[in-house]
Amino acid sequence: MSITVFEQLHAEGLISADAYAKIKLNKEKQLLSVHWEIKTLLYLGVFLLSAGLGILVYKNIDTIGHQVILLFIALVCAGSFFYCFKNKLPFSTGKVAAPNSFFDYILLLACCTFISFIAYLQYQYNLFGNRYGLASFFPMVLLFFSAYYFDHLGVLSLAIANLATWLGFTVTPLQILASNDFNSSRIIFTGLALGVLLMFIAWVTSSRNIKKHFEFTYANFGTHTVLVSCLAAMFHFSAVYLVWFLVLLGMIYFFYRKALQEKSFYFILIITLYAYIGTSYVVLNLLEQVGTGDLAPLYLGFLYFIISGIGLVLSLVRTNKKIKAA
Amino acid sequence: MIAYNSLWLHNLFIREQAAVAFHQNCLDKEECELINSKYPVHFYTPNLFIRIGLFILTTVILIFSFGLLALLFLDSLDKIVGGMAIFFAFLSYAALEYMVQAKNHLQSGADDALLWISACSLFGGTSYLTNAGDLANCIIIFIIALYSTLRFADRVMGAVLYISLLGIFFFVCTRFGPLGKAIVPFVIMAISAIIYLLVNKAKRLKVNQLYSNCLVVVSLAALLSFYFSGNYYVVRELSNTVFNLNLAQNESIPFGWLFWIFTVVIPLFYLVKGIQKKDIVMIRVALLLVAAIIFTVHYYYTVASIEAIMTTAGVLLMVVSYGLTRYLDTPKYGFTILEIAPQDATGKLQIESLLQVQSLTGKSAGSDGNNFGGGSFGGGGASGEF
Repeated sequence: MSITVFEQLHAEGLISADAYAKIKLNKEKQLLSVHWEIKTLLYLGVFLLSAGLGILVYKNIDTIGHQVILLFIALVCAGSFFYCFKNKLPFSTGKVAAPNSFFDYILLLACCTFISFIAYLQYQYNLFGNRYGLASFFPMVLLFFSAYYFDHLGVLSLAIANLATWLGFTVTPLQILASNDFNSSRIIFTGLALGVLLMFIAWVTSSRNIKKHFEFTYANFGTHTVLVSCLAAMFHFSAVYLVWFLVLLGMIYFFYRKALQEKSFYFILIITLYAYIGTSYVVLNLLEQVGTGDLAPLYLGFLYFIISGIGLVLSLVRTNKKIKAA
Repeated sequence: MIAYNSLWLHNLFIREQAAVAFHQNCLDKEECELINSKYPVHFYTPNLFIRIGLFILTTVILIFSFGLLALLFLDSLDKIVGGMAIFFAFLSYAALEYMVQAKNHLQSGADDALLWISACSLFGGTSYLTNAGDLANCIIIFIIALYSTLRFADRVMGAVLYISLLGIFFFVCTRFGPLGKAIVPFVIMAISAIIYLLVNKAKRLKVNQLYSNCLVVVSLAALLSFYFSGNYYVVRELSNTVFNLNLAQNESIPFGWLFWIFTVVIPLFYLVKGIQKKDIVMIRVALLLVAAIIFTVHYYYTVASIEAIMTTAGVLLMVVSYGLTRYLDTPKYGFTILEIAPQDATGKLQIESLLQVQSLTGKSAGSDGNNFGGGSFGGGGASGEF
């Protein structure tokens, strides 16, 4: 802080003598916070230790033996969970703060080691056989439970990612039955369903007020999944891509209303980009179809990007104003 | 000299200061609002995400405009592409001045994109037309970056300006034969030290308040270049490849011991100085460079296997950070582990969140988005405030 600025502000009578004295005192104390530096070091330490141990185990697997490693992972996992259960603050459907600054890291360690434990069992001992779905189902349940019980957004993200994996696994074995043409269409429909499901959960989360601060994470994953699936559908079902383009536009409109309501600049940006990609695909496709062999479509394509770019800039600026005014 | 309305920039500075004081609970809401009304700012500075969007879209528009221009002259493109790039640079520059002067854009994304595209295409065109060599390229970049930094106070431009200055000295030195090549590291170190001291002097001048961000970036770059021009790895490998020294595998460079001293001592020196002077930039650089020491030593002398180093370093870091957290629980020697509101020089608040002080909601908008430590780890952000 610049003390001269506040001297001037004080002289102009904009701030009270009390506030000025406080600022001066703060400036003299010159307290420097190393909060984020230490946090970064801690995070780096956790990362280096786990990566280093991982390599150590990998290189010495012949001498250590699988049971010892599994036991070690299980011990770390159990120990961490034990710590979390012992130190956690009481559960509530609202936001619960972490009891101390190490709690979140230890919970993350517990969850990560649990995933490794299951993966190791499956890889080495084929515990679940060919029912791969089960191998991702158990970690998913545990992750969702931990995310809600201990209130941890990072674990929630892991859980949602695991949900996607699980759905992927439950879908892909069906692939073997279907012919090859349906492979990616199944994935696309699963993606759409997952995205809609996540949006629904996001809606329930906020309307029922169950861990309301989780809503953004659900909505973020949901929006991306739905829109990526729509784009993929456009590219994949090339015969009816215009239909899918309409679906995309419908979704975008829905998300646009929602973003305006929530005053979210972030969602406005991402839906703008998705819409732009979709529209450009349609325009370029149409130009390609009318291609006459000369450079005319090329010129039109360039003109399209310039004009649409300017149009979007104007609409972004207007939306920005709209949100700020609201 | 500066393109933006300097009265508003000054007012913005005062608002930022007030916002910091507010975050430290020194000012109350009414006082902040009073200050904001007394010091108006009419820049167009949209939300960060809108800024990203505007940057991307402006870049798309400009690239396709250039493409369209190139398409028109497709037949004789190789002859006129240099002149066309320069012409295009002036066009974008005119658009930039218009946006800044008439539309009052400040860090809106559109002005960032226009500045960078016009600077890059001016450089490309000039370099292509004059068939410039290394030294000439550095001089062209230096001139363009100097003008852009002075006129638009762009931070990254400031860094480019500094790097091009180093480049000029580097290529001048290499023209003086073996002796020149031998003293390159010392010349760069000397320049870095001089610039660092000058910048720190210049920071205190009131005239430079508008450039304070640029000055911070340049001093950071100077700290880094001072270290890396004396780092053993950089000096050895550069002399090997660029100056064709043809060293054998285990052969050292002349005065190798001197560079080993630099490699190890400078980061520790930064750390001590940074703690003494309470300079957070210096402390951060020092922490980063400790890693550089380890990498350099490990590259030439395999003391331990990489995984052993990682494990030990991990344990050490955890122990040290745990110890420091406990130790600094109550502030000691002016250091605290508690999170005070973002400091002015380094942890600059987003301007947008500062302006939000007008519509205070009781919590700090700046600290919500990027805390990766607490329960809001990952997930793109902590809340729906985006």
